[in-house]
Amino acid sequence: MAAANSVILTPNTIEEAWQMKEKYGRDAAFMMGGTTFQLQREKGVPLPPYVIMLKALDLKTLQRQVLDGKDVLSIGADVPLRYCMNHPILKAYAPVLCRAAGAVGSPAVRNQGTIGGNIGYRKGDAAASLLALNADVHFIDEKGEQVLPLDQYLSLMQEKAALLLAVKIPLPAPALAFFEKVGSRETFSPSILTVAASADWTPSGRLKHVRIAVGGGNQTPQRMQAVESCLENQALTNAAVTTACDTILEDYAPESDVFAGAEYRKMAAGMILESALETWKKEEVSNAPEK
Amino acid sequence: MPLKNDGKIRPDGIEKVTGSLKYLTDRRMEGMLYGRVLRSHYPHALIKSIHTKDAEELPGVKAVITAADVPGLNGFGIVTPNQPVFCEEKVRYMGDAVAAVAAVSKEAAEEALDKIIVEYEELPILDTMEKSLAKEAAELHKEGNILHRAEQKRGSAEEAFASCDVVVEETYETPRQMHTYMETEGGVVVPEKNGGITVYMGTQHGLKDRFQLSRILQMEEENIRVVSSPMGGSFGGKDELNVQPYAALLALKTGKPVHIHNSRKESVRAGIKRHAMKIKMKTGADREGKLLAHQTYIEADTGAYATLGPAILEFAVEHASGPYDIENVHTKGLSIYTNNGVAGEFRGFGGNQITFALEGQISRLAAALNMDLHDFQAANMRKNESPGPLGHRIAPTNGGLLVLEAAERIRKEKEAELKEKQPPGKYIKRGIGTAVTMHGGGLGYGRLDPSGGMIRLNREGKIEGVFGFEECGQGIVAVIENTLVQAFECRREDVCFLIGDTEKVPVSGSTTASRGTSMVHHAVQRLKPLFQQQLFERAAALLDKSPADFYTGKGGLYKFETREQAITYRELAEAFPEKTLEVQTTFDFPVTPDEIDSGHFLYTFGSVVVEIEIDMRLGVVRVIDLQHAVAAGPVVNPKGYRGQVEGGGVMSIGYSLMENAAMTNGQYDTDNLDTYMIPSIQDAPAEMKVEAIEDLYENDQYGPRGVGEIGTVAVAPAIAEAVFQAIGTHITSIPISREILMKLGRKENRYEARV
Ligand SMILES: Cc1cc2nc3c(=O)[nH]c(=O)nc-3n(C[C@H](O)[C@H](O)[C@H](O)COP(=O)(O)OP(=O)(O)OC[C@H]3O[C@@H](n4cnc5c(N)ncnc54)[C@H](O)[C@@H]3O)c2cc1C
Repeated sequence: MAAANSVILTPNTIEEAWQMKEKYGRDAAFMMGGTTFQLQREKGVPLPPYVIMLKALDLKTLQRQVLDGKDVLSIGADVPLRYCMNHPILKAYAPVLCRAAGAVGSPAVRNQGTIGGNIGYRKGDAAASLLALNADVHFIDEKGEQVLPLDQYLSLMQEKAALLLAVKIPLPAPALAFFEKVGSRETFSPSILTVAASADWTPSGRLKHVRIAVGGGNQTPQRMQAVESCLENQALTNAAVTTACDTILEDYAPESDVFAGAEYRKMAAGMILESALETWKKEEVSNAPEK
Repeated sequence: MPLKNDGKIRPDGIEKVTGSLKYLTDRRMEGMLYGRVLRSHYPHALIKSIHTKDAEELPGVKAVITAADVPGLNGFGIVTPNQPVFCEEKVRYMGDAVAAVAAVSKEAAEEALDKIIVEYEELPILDTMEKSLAKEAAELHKEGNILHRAEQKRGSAEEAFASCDVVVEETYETPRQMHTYMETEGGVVVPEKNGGITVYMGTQHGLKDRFQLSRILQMEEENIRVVSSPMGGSFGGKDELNVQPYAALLALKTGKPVHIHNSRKESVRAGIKRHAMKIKMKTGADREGKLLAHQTYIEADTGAYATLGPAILEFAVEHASGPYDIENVHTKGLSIYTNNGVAGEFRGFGGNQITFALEGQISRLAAALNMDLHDFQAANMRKNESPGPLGHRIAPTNGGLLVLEAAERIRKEKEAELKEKQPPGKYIKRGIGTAVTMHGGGLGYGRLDPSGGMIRLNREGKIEGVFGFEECGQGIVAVIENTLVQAFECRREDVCFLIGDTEKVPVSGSTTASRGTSMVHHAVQRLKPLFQQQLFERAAALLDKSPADFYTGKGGLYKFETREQAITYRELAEAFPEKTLEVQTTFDFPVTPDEIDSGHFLYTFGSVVVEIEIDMRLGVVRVIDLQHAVAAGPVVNPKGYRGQVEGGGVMSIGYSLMENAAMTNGQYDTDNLDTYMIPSIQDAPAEMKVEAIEDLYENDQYGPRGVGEIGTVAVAPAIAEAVFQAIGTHITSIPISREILMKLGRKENRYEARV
C-alpha cells in the first residue's frame, strides 16, 4: 500500500495529462486535492501504479464569462471548496453551491479538496447542487475538448476516463434554489442524503425549469426526473406538493448502509422535498405584490 | 452560580494546545524496532496451526513471537486474567492476538504480518446475548457463558407490586460506546541492562501494569519500570493492559527498544468498549406518588473476556435504584460472554446505562400519575441520612436534593425564556428535559483500594507532590498543584508534581472511579502538618528560633512575629543538600462500615437540564443547551471541574444521539472514525453551564469528591425526557433512533399540512 510503489506524474499541460492517462489507462488515476485517496488509504486500498497529479495545470480560475453568447459562471476544476464556500461571485449568483461546498467534510478537507475532485468522487455534495444548477462541464477525452451537461458527464465517467477542466453554471441562476444535506452529525459527516433543487416562476406563478437532484450514501447524485415533471408548470398547491412527495418516494431508490436504512433515506427525501417546496411557496407569497 | 473561568492556565495547557507536548507514542529511540500484532481473522474459531517461518525470513524482521514465547502467565485481566496474551487454541473475538512481530520498519512489520499463516476452524459466532444464553450454545470459557451474576434484594418487590396503584414496565437498550481517545494505545518498551524493562506506555495505573507484566514475563516487579503519563485521553479505556505485553516480549527477545502504536482501526478492533446493556425494569408507586417497588433485570454484553465486567455489573446493580428511597428493591444482573469485542471500563462504569433506564421509569411513572416530574423525584429523593442504594451506611449527604432543586430552578428559567422565543421553524419541536443521578466514588467495599502520596522539598527548593496517579488529560496535575498551593498558602512557582513513573512514585491506587482528586486532598491533609513541622524544625535550627515561630507562605517561611519572610524554600533545601525533606502517607479510600460487596461510601450527585430541538422531518435531535448541577464538595480546580463535567456531557450527547459501535457477526460495523461518529464541535451546545454545589453535609470530613464521571451519567435520560416533553413519546433505546422520531413527525405533518 506504500506510496513508494506508485509513480507520481506531474504533467504541465492538459494535453500532457491526457496523454499520460491514455498511455497508462486503468493503471493511472488523476489526482487533484487527493482527499479521496486519503479515504481509500484508510480503507486499505492501495494507490494505483501511476498517479497523475493535476496541480500544475492552470485550472484555478473562477470567473463570470460570456461563452458563445451565453453568460456563465466558470469554475476551474482545481478551485478548492473553501473558495467556493466564500467567493463573492458565487455568493451572489449561486449561493446553493456555497452552501454545498461548505457542507463537505471539515475545514481541512475543504482547503485541500477541489470542485473537480468533488465531481470526480462521484458522490460529492457539491456535485448534487451543480446538477440542480444545470451546470455543464468542460472536459477533454479522446475526442478532444468538449462541453456536456453534468449528468451526462457523470454517466460518461462510469464508462471511460475524461479529464475535467471546468464547471460552467448558466446565468441567470434560477430564481428558486434549495440545498440540504443530512449527515450523522451536524458537520464533518458523510452524506446520508443530499437534496438540491432549483426552479423558476412563470409569470402566472407556476414552476418551470424544475430540477431536483438527490445524492447520499454510495450513490452518485441523480436527477429525479419524474418528480421534476410532475411539478413542471404547476402552481404550488397542497395537492401538487403531495403528488411530488409521493412521486419521490416511488422514484428514489436509495441503499442501506451503516449510517441509515434505505427506508429512512426515502422518507427523508420526501420530507425534505416537502419543506423545500413550502419554502418556495412562502417566497412566492412574500414576493406576490411585486408580480 | 455557574462556574467561571479562573483565568489560570493548567500546567500542561500550553504544550497541549500548541502541540509541542511529546506523548509516549511520540518517543523514538536509537535502534528502535517497530512492533505489530497479528489479530484474529475470525470472531470465533479454533486455531489449527500457526506458521511463522516465512515471516521470520523476511528481510528486516527481527522477531516473530506467539504463545510459545510467553515465559509466565499467558493471560491478562485486572481481576481475572483470562484474556490470552496470545491465543493458542481458540480465538474468541476479532481483536484476539495470535502473534506479534518486530522489524526495522513499519512496512517490514506490516509485510511480516501478512506472511504469518494461521489455519483456523471456524466456530458458530455468538454475536448476541440471546445466542450465548441458548442451551445449545458453545461455551466460550470453562465457567460457561456467564461471566458474572449480581443480585441485590431489599424488602419484597414482587409482593409490593400488588399494593401499587401504578406500575410501569419497560425494556431499555443502550449501545456499545467507544472511548475514542485522541491518542490510540501504544508507546515504547526498552530492555534495560539489568535484564529488566522500562515501559513507556499510557495506562491508568502504572503499578497494576507492572504487576500484570511481571506475571506475564515472569520477572520481578522491581525490574519493571512503567512510565505512563501523559496520555492523550483514556476515559477508562487504557486501564486494562493493551499492547504492553507485546512490546515487552519483543523488546526482551530482540534486546532492542520496541515501539507499538495501534492504528485507529486496530484500536477499534482490539480495544475495550462500554458495555451494551439490555435492562428490564418494573417500578410501582402509590397514588400519592411514593415509590414502593422496583425490579430490575440487567443483561450486559461483556464480550470475549472478563477484564472489569463483574465490577461494572455490580456497579449497575448497586445504582439501579439510584438516589431514591425505595423500600422494596430487587435487582438481578448477568454479565454475558459473547464473541463481540471486549467490554470493560468506561467513564460512568455501568452507571450511565442503569441511570438511563431508571430515570426513564421515573418519568413514565410521573406521567402515569399525572404528577410533575420534579415533584415526583423530590418526593422520593433520599433523605440526608438515608441508607445507600444497597441499604448500607454511606457518608450522610443532602446532595440529591440540592442538585434536584438546582435543576428545577434552571428548568423554570429556561421554560420562561422559551416562552418568549418563537420556535425556529414549522417542523421543529422543542423540549426541556431533566434527570438526576447519584454516583459512587472509589472501588467499593471488599476491593483493595489503597491510596497515598508523598510531599518533599526537592533540590530546587520546590514543594513537590508525588503521586502514583496518571495524567490522561483529566487535569490531575492541576489538582495536585492547586491543592499544594492552598495547603501551604504559597505561590504556584513554589510547587511542582511528579507522577506516572513506578520507579519514583508511591502507591496512590488507580486513576479511576472518580478517586484522584479526593485522594490527593486526603493525602495532602495528612501530610501537611508533618511536612510543615519538618520545615519549621529545619528553619528553627538554622535561624536559632523555635519551630512554632513559623508559618508557610509565598516563596518560603514567614515569622509570626514580624510577618516577614524568614527563609526561602530554596535556602531551606540548599542548607541540607544531603538530607531530603520528605514525608509519605498511605491510607485506604473510605468505605462503608457495612459488609456489603462493592457498596460505595462517598457519592456525588448530578443533575442535568437539557434543551433540545427535534427536526421532525428527519428525526434529528439537536442539543441547544446543556447545563449541569453537581454536588461534589469544594472545587479544587475550577477549570478542570468544568472541563470534566462539560466534556463528559458532550461525550454523552454522542452516546445519546449517534455513537453505537454496533457489530454484525462479531465484526464492527463501524471500524474507523469515518463511520463511528462522535460529536463534532457543531453538535455541542455553544455554551454550557456547570453549577458546582460546594457545600458538604454537616460534619462531612471527606472533602472534595472527584467529578471525572458524573457529567456523563444523567445526560442520556435528560435528553430522553426532553424528547418526551417535546412530542409526548417515551423512547426506550439510545442512540435515539431518527427513524422512530421521523415516523411520528410524518404522521403529524401529513395531518397538519393536508387536512
Ligand atoms: C475526511 C474526509 C471527509 C470527506 N467528507 C466529504 C463530504 O462530506 N462530502 C463530499 O462530497 N466529499 C467528502 N469527502 C471527499 C472529498 O474530499 C471531496 O469530495 C473533495 O471535493 C474531493 O476533492 P479532491 O480535489 O481532493 O479530489 P481527489 O481526491 O484528488 O480526486 C477525487 C476523484 O476524482 C478524480 N479526479 C480528480 N480530478 C479530476 C479531473 N480533473 N478529471 C477527472 N477526474 C478527476 C480522481 O481520480 C478521484 O477519483 C471527504 C474526504 C475526506 C478525506
